[in-house]
Amino acid sequence: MNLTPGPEHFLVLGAILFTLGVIGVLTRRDPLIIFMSIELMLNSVNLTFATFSQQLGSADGQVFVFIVMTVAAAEVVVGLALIVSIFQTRQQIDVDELDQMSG
Amino acid sequence: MIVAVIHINVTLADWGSVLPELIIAGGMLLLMLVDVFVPGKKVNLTTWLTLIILALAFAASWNLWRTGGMASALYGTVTSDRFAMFFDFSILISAALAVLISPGYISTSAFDSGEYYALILGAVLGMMLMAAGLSLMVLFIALELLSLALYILSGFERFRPRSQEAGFKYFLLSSFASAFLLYGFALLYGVTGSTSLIKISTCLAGHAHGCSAAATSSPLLYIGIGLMLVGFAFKVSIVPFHMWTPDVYEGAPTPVTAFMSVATKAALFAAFIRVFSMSLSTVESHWYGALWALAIATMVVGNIAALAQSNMKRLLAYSGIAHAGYILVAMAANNALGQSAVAFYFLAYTFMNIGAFVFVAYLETTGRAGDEIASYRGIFYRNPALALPMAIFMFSLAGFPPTAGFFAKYVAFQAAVQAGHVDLVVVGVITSLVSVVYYLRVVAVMFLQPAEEAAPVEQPVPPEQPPAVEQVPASAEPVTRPQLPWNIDVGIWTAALGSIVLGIIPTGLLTYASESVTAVRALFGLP
Amino acid sequence: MATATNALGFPLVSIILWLPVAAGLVCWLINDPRTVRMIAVAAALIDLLLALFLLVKFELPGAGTAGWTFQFADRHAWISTIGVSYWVGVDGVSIILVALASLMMSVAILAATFMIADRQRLFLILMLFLETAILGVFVSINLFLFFVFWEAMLIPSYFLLGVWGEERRVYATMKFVIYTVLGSFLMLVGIFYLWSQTGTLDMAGPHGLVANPVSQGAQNWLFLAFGLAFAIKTPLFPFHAWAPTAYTESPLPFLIALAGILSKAGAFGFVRYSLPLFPSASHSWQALVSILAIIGLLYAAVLALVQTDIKKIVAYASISHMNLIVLGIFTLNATGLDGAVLQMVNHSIIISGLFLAVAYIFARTGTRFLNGMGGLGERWPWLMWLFFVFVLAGLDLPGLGSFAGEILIFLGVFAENAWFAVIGALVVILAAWYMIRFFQNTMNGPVAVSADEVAVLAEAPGRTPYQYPVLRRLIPGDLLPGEIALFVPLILLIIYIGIQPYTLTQRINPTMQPVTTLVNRGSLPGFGGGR
Repeated sequence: MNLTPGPEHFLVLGAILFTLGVIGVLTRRDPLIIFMSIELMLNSVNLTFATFSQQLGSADGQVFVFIVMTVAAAEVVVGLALIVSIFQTRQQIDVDELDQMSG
Repeated sequence: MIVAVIHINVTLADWGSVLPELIIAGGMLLLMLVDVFVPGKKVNLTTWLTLIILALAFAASWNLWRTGGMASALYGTVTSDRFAMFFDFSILISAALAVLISPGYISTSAFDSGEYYALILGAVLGMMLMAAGLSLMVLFIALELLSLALYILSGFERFRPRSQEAGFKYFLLSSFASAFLLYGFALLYGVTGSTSLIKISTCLAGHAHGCSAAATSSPLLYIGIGLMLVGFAFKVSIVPFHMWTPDVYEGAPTPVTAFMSVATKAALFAAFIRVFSMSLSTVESHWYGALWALAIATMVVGNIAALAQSNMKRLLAYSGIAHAGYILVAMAANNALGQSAVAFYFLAYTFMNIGAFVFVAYLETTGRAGDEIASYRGIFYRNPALALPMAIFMFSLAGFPPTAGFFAKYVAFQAAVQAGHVDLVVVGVITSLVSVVYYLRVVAVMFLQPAEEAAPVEQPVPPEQPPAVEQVPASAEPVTRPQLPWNIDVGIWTAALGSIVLGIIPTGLLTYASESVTAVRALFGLP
Repeated sequence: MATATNALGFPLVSIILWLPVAAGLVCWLINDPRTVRMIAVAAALIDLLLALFLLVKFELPGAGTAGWTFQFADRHAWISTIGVSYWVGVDGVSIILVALASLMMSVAILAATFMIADRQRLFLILMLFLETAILGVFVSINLFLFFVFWEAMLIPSYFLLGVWGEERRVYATMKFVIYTVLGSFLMLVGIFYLWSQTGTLDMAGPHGLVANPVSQGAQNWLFLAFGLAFAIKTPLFPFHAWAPTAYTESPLPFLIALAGILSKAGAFGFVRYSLPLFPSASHSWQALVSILAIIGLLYAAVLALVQTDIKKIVAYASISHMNLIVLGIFTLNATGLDGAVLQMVNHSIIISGLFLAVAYIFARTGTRFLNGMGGLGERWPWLMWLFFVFVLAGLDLPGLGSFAGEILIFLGVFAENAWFAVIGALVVILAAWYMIRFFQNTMNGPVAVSADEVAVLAEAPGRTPYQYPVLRRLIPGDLLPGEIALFVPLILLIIYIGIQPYTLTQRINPTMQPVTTLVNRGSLPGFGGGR
């Protein structure tokens, strides 16, 4: 039995992580956890990119990974700033409480 | 030992083809510097500076349009074809209109104007790159650039809970959508082996080496297309991924809402067309069904939900969703006429939609709840110069001739009929009929119901005087007509004029739109 | 159908078409109310003179050259990618309606100069815009252009009814708009379909829509899509619900345009578009439309008989007569069609005259209800006698205009279906009944109210006695010169048409003959010349 992981294993892992991220976003109520779930989704995509890059022998995918990492960092900055700003005025953060506007 | 020799082969022409983007980027940095180094209040200075930068970028875009631009520049990552330039026009005009109405809002809400304008320019930069991107990487960076700027802008009134809420909701849902889009990009890359849209298209057409023959039927391609559709649908607020739109539109500062309601959609639809209608055109059968369903759901839900709104910004949000549905109809036609209809639609939409937001923004700066429709009661009798253009926008959004809205919708539907999608057009026409009710309700509130206190202002005629035929009091002109600030005046009448002129003489711009589509189709080898 | 090149050497039709809008824009820039009034009236009158000039210059086909020609045509490329051109011109029917429209709009604009005091400038501007839209409907030879003008009529109407209307104006306006838009949006789908089938939206010419009818199955659906729009505008029987409210709530000058001209646009739509474009469908739907029209004309006449609001009496009378016109159109023979077009002119004049009389009575008594009136003729003989002329015309008195029209219609109906003619002719009795009731109860009989007692209701500044709600100051005496001046051209025209209907029919008939040939044969031989 060959236990060496092939590309498809990484792709499946990426898909599983992505799904976990989606589930996290849809079910959790703490903005920080939602935020982390989104990061998980982005990183699962990174894994997918890296796998494809390896499989196809093209560098594009790996370049993409770096771009995504950078962008994710920028997103963290903005997201945390927004969370802090909300926390300053309300002293609590639960997305269900963000219901001033009926949506 | 491997010695890597990298020849960087970027010519001046390459930089020339991204000149509009460079101008915006430079302007953004300049504004940040001004913000730091110029002391005191600088609303006027920064506003003018932003407008000048936008005008310069417009001139650069116009020059590229005139010369035809470069089909692909900077290693095939961006293009300056006419399609990109045409969308740049919409984006820049809407940015300029949004900037024009911002000073009043800035002074009432105590913004930091330098940062605010720098962020607007950041979003513009992202949008222009979005329209010009030829590579999945550029598209992703552009998308994030514009989104990050807009998250901050939506929450810019950081002491107003609604604005905070808008910014945060937008942030969470939009980055969620970005992740979907990105995963779709990854799968597309995996299937076709390239991030270049042109190479993807040749691969799927079966013309490329090193691209597996089974690419078009790969399950990963289906999943990737689905994920990208979800991502795009979120970003342009297509039903059922539209839930964030009304909340964000309502909570965000009005000039920002105005700007993002038009320009974001324009940029994303440009990319949407480049990716789906161009790059993935050979596998149209993979996505047409989904697009069809999304279009119908969007038109139906958007229009019906709009009926129930009492808040103008929410109404415009749902109206924007409905219009995205009409644009999808044109896109689903998947022919040259449909794509030029999309391009033209955005130009028309720029004027009529931002015009409506100018109206709301002005009322907000006068201290009243400018977005409650009930508060518009009898506004025509108090301030006709404000009510008349608003009526033009409403008629235009509802699609009455001779306005831009009618013409844009007409061409969009005609393209769909030409492609044989009569079912979409029938739904579109019926839902347009529904839309007449809510748009005209706004006009009815403004015009048909005089406010209680708004009796016509004039001197009463002595009662013993017999009414003679010639004796008509000069009541046609109320004595105290409120003066609009000049920037609102310019903004609202520019938009009104645009909404009318595009309806009466659309020929030239429609020709431009179809030229732009010819350019992009040629780029992807489509007839 | 040859399209004669422009015989004049300059685009007169376009000038007539755009003059009102240009004048309206000029008015926008001017603040002095007197100048605005002058410009508006001048524009309307010049338009009328030009239209009359056109009517005189209109070339009658010689014997044997029966032809449906568009004369004074003016054509420019507009948006060729989607089959749209700017193409205007007149045929024998539209030339008459253009003249009629410019006449009625002149009367309406003159009326507005002294009947509307509140925001008069905007009212006049909107009336001028409306005039262009109406004229555009009549002169367009391209279906897209027609649709643009058709829809554009709605925008000024919306404001004219909604801002200056009476108490229930908001309700009336919304009803009016929703009905109208419902019809025209379906027509839009029809236009899309026609374009997808034929690739053009031009009516005339060898590749035009008339020369290339679509398949019979498609015609049936398209007839419905177009017919609904026209039926609503006319208004034909089950689609008329908007009309009584809109008519009663309208300010008088707009009412002249609405009942006098806008309703004709619907009937014109049947004649110009439904019949020639969908000939076989017109046959299939002929019986149904005729029955609806008969029901409608009797139903509205009965309703006119029981109203106590005099404005409503005239409103229902108008609906009744419009249904008669539709009946005439759907005889699908030349006699009925000639009569229908002739009757469009008569209807417009008579109904406008009656509505004017209603307004004059209202301005003097402060009420519109029959129980508050009676014996008015004794006090105001001028009002009575001039009003009497319109009542007689409404009764189809021989020698006045409407006689010839109705005779032609009934002759046409009789040729198609004798029963229809017999049942339809009952309307003549009903019409006589409600007209006489109207006249008797207002002008004759005991004096119900004295002039001093009627003065009631709030004093509203910025209003004239013609407007709702009633002023304390009513007009005390008999008709003022300005009021008579509005009546005079209408009365002269009624008498002239009564004596000389041939002036009109010799223009109508050469256009209607080919249309009936087309409808009855399914094609028009020799058609498709010209540009």
